[in-house]
Amino acid sequence: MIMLKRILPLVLASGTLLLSGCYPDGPDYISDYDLVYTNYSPSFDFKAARTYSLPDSVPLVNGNLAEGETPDFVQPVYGNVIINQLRQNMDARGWERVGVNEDPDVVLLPAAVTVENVSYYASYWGWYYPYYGYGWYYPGYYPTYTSYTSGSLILQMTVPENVDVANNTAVVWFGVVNSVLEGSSADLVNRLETNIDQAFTQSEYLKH
Amino acid sequence: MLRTILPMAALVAAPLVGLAQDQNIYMIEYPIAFGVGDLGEFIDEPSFRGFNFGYRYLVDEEVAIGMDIGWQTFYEDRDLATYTDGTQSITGKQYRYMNMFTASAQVDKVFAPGSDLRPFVGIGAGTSYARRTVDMGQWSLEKDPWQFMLQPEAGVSLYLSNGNAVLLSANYYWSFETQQLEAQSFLSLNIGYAFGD
Repeated sequence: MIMLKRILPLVLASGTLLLSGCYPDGPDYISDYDLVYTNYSPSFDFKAARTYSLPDSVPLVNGNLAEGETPDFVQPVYGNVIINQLRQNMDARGWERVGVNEDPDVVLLPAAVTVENVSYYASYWGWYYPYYGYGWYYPGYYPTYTSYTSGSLILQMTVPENVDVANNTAVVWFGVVNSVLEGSSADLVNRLETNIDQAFTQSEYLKH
Repeated sequence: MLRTILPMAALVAAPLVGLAQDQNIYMIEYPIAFGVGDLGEFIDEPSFRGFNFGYRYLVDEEVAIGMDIGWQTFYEDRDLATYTDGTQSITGKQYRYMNMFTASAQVDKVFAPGSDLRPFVGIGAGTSYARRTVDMGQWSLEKDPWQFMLQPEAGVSLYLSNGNAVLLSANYYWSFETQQLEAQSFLSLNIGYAFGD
């Protein structure tokens, strides 16, 4: 027992030092938190689709919209970066941009989300494409990345022609760029560009 | 590292009473561990963070029974990479953590009793509690199973003039598959100190 009295403080001291002094690291930079997620419909023939349409601004999904309402939009300083980067990536992969009324094969819809657990309905897109129905369906896959916490850019490639009986529109490609919205404006722009590029890089099937 | 070694060095240098005729032996070890199998694939960096405590009762000069408890933490940050599962792909930096808490009953066979250099081999059975975490972006995925564990060991005791011993040993921790997690194994190389009362 005398020994135990001598041992115990040493054991506790060494254990405390080990636990406090050597615990492993985690992320060092904000960009270390960036995530890029993509998913696609395996039944859709991306090679057969050639033309795409893209809005000029990016809606900010911050609640539910009543029918006929126009959504808020992301500030142009970021919205333009998003639109330009999407266009560059699509063009570089052999897609041709057309107007939304020129019967595009697919429509690419970017939206920004800054709150958690939003409802994300097709009604958002009435200002851009009035023929969108009630919502979306995901042919052959489902986007499991369902928790859109602060700072997500959601990308949906929709096929206006593919509408199911419930009047939902097919989403054949789905992407999420998730970041922590901190840091300078230049840093955010830089990360947006890099991460949008990554969404396309990891989606080789989009290339013609 | 220094912060890890210094307390150990202090213990080794501590003047403690003799062990030669003691029946109760206490051990403290500093392990360096290497993941094997699924754990090695999950984190291939060796772990320098851990400690073991042990107790043995000498049944006779050649047989000891007792128990070991230990803690080992593995860590690795992966470079930015893309992970694909079916039609899904996700790109980001991953931070992987594995904490293994182990406890087992052990039985050892001691060779060359009475000499300064006494090899030993042993086997133990008990349980391990794993906390396996993958942090990616703002998400964290965790598994924390209790698993049945076998722990073979082999080593040598170097007896000092004060009757205590320096231990050099290798332990293999083999935790069996559960529904939550595959079998987890790691090998540890240990330096330790043993003393009795």
